[in-house]
Amino acid sequence: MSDVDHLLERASALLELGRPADAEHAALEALAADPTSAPAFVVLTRALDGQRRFDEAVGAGRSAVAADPDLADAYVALAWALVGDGRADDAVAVAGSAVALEPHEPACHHALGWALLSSSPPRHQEAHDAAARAIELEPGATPAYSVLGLALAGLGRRREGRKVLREGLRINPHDPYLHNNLAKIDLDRGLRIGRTGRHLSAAAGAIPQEPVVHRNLDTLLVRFAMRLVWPTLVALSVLRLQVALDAPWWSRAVTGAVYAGLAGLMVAWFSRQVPRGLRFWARGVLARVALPVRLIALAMLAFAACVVATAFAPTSLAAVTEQAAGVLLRLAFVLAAVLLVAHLVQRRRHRRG
Amino acid sequence: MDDRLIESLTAAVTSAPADLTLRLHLASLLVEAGRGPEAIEHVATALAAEPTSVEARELMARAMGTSPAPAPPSAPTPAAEPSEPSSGFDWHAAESDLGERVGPMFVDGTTEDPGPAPYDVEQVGVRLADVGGLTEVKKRLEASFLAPLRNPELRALYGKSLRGGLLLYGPPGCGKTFLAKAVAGELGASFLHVSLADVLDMYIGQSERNVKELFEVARSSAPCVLFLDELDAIGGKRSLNRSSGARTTVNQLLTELDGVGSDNEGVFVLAATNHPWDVDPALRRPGRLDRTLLVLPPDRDAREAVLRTHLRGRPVERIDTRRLAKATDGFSGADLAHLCESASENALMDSVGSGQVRMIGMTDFDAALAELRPSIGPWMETARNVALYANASGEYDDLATWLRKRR
Repeated sequence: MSDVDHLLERASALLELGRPADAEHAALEALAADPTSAPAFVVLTRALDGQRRFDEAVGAGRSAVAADPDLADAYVALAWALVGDGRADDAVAVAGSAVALEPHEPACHHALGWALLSSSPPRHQEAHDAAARAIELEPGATPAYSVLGLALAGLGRRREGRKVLREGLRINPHDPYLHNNLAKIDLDRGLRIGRTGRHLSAAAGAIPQEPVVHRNLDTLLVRFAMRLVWPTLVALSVLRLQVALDAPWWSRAVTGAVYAGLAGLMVAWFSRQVPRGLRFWARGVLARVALPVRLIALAMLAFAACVVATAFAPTSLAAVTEQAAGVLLRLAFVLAAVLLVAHLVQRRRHRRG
Repeated sequence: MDDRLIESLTAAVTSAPADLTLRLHLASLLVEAGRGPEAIEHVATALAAEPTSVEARELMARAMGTSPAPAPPSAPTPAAEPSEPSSGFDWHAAESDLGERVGPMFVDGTTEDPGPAPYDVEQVGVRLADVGGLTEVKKRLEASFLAPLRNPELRALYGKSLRGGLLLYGPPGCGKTFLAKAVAGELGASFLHVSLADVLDMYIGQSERNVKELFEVARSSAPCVLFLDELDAIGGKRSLNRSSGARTTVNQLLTELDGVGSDNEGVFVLAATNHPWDVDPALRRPGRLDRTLLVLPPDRDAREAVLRTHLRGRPVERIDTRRLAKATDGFSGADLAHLCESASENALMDSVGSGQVRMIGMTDFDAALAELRPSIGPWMETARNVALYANASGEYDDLATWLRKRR
């Protein structure tokens, strides 16, 4: 085994161990020994990709392709780097070249599938076909199940998509990406907060550095906060009635206490479904979500505060806070309606484009 | 002659042995101070590096004239008489030089070539008291690991098992390896250090056999502290390993840790990693590496102690270590060593440039500090995410608490 081969083995082993920075050094050493080695450029591309240095990874990937235009691995590595760099349309062409060179290699079809899924607009049907081909060639390749499941969900076949992802989890119950993608499908529908939380917990436990998982957790948190609107609405209705009937202060306080207890129970249940330490990772969530969502969440928070104030404030002040809660609720609904319309318009434009 | 200056220069030469100008300057001072034999050593080194140096030859003559003591063996003295002129070669000396390194002349085919020793078992003289700072870590180490080992009666009374090892984790460069050596020193045990490079070579070759061999060496050297550095490299999560080679290595490691088919009596397994979250969970189950200890960057007092240790033996003047310790918050032990090295380099370059030898001062440290940043930043980022999102069982609670304090 030559020095270059030895260094490449070492770099590949380091990549597998999840040490892309060390792998990069080993790949650079291999390149110093043989500056024309295409496999060394491939490992370097993957090492840079693993460090999220996508721009440099694309450069290394192009060098790999230039060093050996017949090496499918080089195209696959470049395709992944291009997807990371946000150039999925270019990645589709590059991954297509890899498939043309090695039509029986599942990794090529998998890369093509992911590139198609990441392109703008996503090419779900083609991604589905590529992922299905990858699974056909290697039934144990769980990453391809992720592509297939997401493609099916994108085609509107969510139930089938979930089924495929669950099938992947049966093969590898620890695959964090399958857990994350299952959660993503549920998040898109806005259902099953508990199940989504459990999948995201599994994903975050295995890949705590993954920003996509963090974003999904933030979204889940906002979704859960929206669920709290229902008991708040019920509490507001009861309090309104109590204020109108000029009920004694303690009856409002009881309503407020029941509401607070119910909300507390819901939060306690939620915190058991998501990664431990909710109060720490959820800190600053409002700063991380999009502006319209932030405005709606702020309006809802103020609404809940007004409801609590109505429950415990003196009668004269309770009438004011009750009115304010109503205004804030309407404001939140208007904001949500505007956001929904904007989202639908954007989606329609996206589809036309 | 000012002995202090000579001492300072000696320290400077020790830290920059290749600087011949400095060495010759020191030698001339030694000659003037009447310390000829010491000067001869330095001049001889200079002559070995630069045999044509007129200045060195003159100094050698002066040093020899000052003291008629015999020249050191390294001095290039071509006129020296051979000790055994009759044979022309000193066979006894050559044999004693080679010693056991020469293999047998003939083998009969049944004797296997043992080859070079695969792992170096060393005896360490370091004790926990030699570890600067880390008071809390040392206390916990004593309570969780050393005390049960040292008190067999109490151990028997409380039914405490000796099974299991200790996993040290924390940011890079904070003294995990040194702590492991100190544990070996405290136990009076030999120390077997397996590094990442050894491990990766193992992966490529016969990995399982090598892990087995590693434990065999440790057992034969008992009492022995077997230190697995960068454990995540050997025992990474099997779910993340695509190759079966890496998986079987972890399996073999588990077998050896459990002592299946062999007795691990007297083998204390210590491991270190910067990424405990990448270590296979099976390795951390009870009876294996079931105790974990977080080794953090030094606090202010510890930083001061570390700085003083690194400055010992260097020509320093009016160094405010308290101020330096305050300015180096977040620096690891390795960063502090690098800071001292950079400051020394600044003073050395200045001395070379000006031709005037001077002491290392605070200005050198300020200049070095302006260029250095704590190296543990990327680790902190990873650790923060782990503590926030992957602390399901509370195993990183101490890490999370520390990170919150640092916010």
